[in-house]
Amino acid sequence: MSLHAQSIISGQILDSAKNPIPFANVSIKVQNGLTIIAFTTTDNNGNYNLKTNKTGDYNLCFSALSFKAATFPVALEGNKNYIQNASLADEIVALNEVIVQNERAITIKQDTIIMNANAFSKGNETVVEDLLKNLPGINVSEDGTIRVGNQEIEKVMVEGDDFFERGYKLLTKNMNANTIDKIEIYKKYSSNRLLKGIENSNKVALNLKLKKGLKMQWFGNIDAGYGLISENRYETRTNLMSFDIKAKYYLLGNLNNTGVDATGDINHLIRPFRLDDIETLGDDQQANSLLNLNIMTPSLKEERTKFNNAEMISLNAIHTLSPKVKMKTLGFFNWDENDSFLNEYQFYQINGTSFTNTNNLTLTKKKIVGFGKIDLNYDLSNNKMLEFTSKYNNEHENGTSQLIFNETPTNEKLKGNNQLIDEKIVFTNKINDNKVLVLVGRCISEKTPQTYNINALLFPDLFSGQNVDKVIQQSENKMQFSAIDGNLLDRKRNGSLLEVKTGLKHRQDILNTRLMFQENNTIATVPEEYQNSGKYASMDAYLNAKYSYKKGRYTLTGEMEAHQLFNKYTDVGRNEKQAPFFVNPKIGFNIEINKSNRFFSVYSYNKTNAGILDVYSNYVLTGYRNFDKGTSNINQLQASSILLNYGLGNWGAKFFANASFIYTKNHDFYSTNSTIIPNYSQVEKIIIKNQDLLSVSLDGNYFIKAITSNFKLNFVYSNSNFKNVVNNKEREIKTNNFNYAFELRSAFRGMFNYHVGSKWKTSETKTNMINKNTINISFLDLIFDFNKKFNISLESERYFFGNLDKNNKYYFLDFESKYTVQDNKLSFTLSGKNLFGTKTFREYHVNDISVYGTEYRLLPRYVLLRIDYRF
Amino acid sequence: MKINKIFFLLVCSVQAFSQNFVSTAKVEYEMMINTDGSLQNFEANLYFNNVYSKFDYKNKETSDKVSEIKTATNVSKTVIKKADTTMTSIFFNPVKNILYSSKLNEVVFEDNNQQKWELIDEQKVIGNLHCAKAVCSFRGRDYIAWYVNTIPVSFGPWKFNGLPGLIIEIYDSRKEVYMAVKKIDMPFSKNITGIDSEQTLISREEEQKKVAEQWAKKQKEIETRAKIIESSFSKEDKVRIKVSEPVFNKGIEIE
Repeated sequence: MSLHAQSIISGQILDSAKNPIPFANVSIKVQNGLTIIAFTTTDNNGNYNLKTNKTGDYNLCFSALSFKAATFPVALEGNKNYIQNASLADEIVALNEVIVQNERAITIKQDTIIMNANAFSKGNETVVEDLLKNLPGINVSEDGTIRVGNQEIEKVMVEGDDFFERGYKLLTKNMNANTIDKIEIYKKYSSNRLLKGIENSNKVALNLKLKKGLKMQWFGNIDAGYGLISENRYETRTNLMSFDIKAKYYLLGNLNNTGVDATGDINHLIRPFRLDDIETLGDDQQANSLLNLNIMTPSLKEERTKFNNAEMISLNAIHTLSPKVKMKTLGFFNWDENDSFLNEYQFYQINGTSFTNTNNLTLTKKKIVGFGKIDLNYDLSNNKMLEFTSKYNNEHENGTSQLIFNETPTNEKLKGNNQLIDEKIVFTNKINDNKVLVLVGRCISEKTPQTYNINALLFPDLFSGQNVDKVIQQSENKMQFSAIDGNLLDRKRNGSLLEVKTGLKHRQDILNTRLMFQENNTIATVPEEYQNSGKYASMDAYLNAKYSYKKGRYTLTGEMEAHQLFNKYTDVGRNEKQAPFFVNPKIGFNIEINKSNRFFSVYSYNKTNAGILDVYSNYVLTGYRNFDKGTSNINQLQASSILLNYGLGNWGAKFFANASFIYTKNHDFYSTNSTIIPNYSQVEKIIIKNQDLLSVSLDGNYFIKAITSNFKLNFVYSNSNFKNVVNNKEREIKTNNFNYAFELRSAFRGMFNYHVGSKWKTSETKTNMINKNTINISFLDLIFDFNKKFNISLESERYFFGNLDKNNKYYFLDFESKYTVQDNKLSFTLSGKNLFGTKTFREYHVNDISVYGTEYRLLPRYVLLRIDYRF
Repeated sequence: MKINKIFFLLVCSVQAFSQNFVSTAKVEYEMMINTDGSLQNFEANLYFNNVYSKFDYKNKETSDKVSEIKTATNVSKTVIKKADTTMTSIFFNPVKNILYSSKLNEVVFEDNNQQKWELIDEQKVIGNLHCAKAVCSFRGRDYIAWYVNTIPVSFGPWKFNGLPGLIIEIYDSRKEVYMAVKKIDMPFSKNITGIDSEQTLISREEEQKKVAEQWAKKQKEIETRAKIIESSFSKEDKVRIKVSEPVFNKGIEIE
């Protein structure tokens, strides 16, 4: 029995003129079918040589272009050589075949590319990010950033819904890959689908379509950290989600006492970021809280001075109620306790007299916030859409502070509550490809009641002959806002845009304040000039038109706002009415001289109507020794401003710079008439004419090739002139501020990189004397990227206050080091903050009446070990 | 007679190098490459007679694509994608078993020995043609081809050849490369011009070396540029930039 049963078939193929046919097809086929088991072609001389291991009966076929094919039966017995020649007859074959294409793994429909997940899955994917890495055209970088080509996507939607916007990594690094059926790439994406085309977007978004029939699964991650060498420091975050075609859920929890504000994580869900100003009707309306236990915040990173204890939980859901209706719900609860420790010192120099005040403050604030929001979206038709949003917010704040004011110990208590109900309805109608009509209606009702008490009368001079052991103030601002608004946008063919807006706004504020003195638990006195029961109603009927005209490199923009106001203020002894009419114009001019030179300028004249806090009649306690009151007259302020800006070079070029100049003249503005004496201050808002404000800034960037680093220079100068009245004397005040800063940042491609910089701020306030202050903030960062799994970064800072004799330098050192055990599954982070153990931080400021220093207690040194685990 | 013979031989050798021939068939192909998110569509045609073939392809894009990217700090980046609309021609010379790829002034030649086809016993009807399946791995991709035995030429689109019939449809396992017949015209007589004597001839090994050097230089340029851009952000912006795997390295041949 031979091991190789190989048959060799050879021969020559000739045409009818006995010429050899080169490159003719020779194949051995099965006798009852088309299956070919071996094939070859003839050489230049028409000879062929074919080998096969198969045995049995087969057909030997010869074919060539322009010849008639010939078939010979052949019985292969193995280990035998066969010779088969052929002579082929001419045959002209005519063929005119047209083939229509059918389905593919990739389908393209206008601006959408649809891909089948199973055509691209290799079987070893765990999370969505792994599947996206296999898709042609989609690039996923090491940190999980997703790009289509080289453009980053805006969001990753699941069945058309999205929770995270640019925070999509939370989804792609946690959701299971085997739930995905199709991946869609949307080009020219707009979040409001009816503004598409008019908005001219170049954005890209992904949409994942789920496999039908899969059961809903929960997935997420937990990031937990605990302090190693310090007392009880912790930071924990957890994300939990579940996606289905009809319902999607996202749960977020945060527990920390490292000074982190947990609501920062969901801010984009509470206040969605919208670039266009059409739907922002009413976003600027808010009720006011008059009192605050402490307003001083240092110029350090917020986490350094925040002694907190926060817990936050948030639940979000999107339900598809029907093909046309979608409902989004969001709710969160936040409990936070914040402690602050301050030492204040103020040295006043007014009109020849001088005195010093000191204060030592220990403050504890407890805050509970409950927030709920419902969004309903109804697609009326292809061109019409209705959106309804309802928000509810309830906040309770309870603060207590212990003061030692000029060696007198006292206690303050402030209880505050904020209740907000906000309803909004938006109707969008896309009239054609270039015109869209948007109607907005909004109704907001908010109130901020506050109760304040302090167990001593720190200002006996004001209220002589009183035996007071408690001062109580109750205040409340009730705000009611309702408005309707219509907007028409028309994009002309040449790229110019016309916007017309008209509407009616009505706002009513009720301000009730009551100051009481208590003696032995009974109300003794209610001083007359310290009560308010004001009601301020303002109705604004307006018409705005904006036209931007574009021709080649120039763009000219003209804007006009016409307002007809009806104002009314009523209080005890006051009944004021007004109906002013005014127009605010604005002109802008842009030139793009070339890609490296751009210029734009804007001139505007603005008249603004006063708010309730500007015009109330009687004094209100706004701090433990401050009284404030408004102008007692309804008024409007006028201002003109001009802005010029020149840009040179382009981002990424070796050199680019920017220069800008702003000048604002306030024809009338709010100044103050203050009475300041050691134990208290009373400030009345007054209107004074002519305040000037000038600001010049220069920015430059230069890439120094010799040291592969970028050098950045920044210079700002601002100057303002205004007048105020202090202790019955009118003064002219001039302030000058100079800021200059530089930064040097390396662009090394290796393991190490540095970033160093320094900023000087000099401020000068001139009245009849000069107060000057210089601050310097410098930093040095070192970054080490050892490999893809391990990196370390060190950040150091230095603060310097020129006006202090001692304790004028502060140093801080933070570090963070990350080690990835398994990509997207487990990683460890070691972070240390305030390693030099700086205990207090003192800042120094000047204004036109005093120089003041504030000393803050800082969070002590701590080292945190964090584990990030996906489940 | 003698003179004629010599003349004939001379003409033959020149023809073997220059690849001028008269075609007897024209096949229009749909050719799509999808390796960077933007589907590239080519106008492609195969001309052949019973000895030689020529495959022409040219990008259908007529304009430059410009996109503006706005980042989180409201910085605008302009990306311009230039479409390469020059025509590439691939000549197959089965006498010498060499493939010539001609583009502008350069002709790259390579041995035609790398497609080891495996015939699969599967049939599919495309239009009116009964096709059979074959698979092979070629330069980093796994291809599936459908060929028709009744058009007995071993030609196909691009560099594909060597099957017992014309290749009607061929695609790789990731569907990043896709070529399929749209129209067949037989007879189709046309004088096909081959390689110009003005063009420079280099081997594929030399060309690959040149390309690798260019890509390495480009990658270095992009990384340097990215680092420069990252270094021009100030401390408040809190920005880090990482350069992703080279997006541009994906053509039809990955190895």
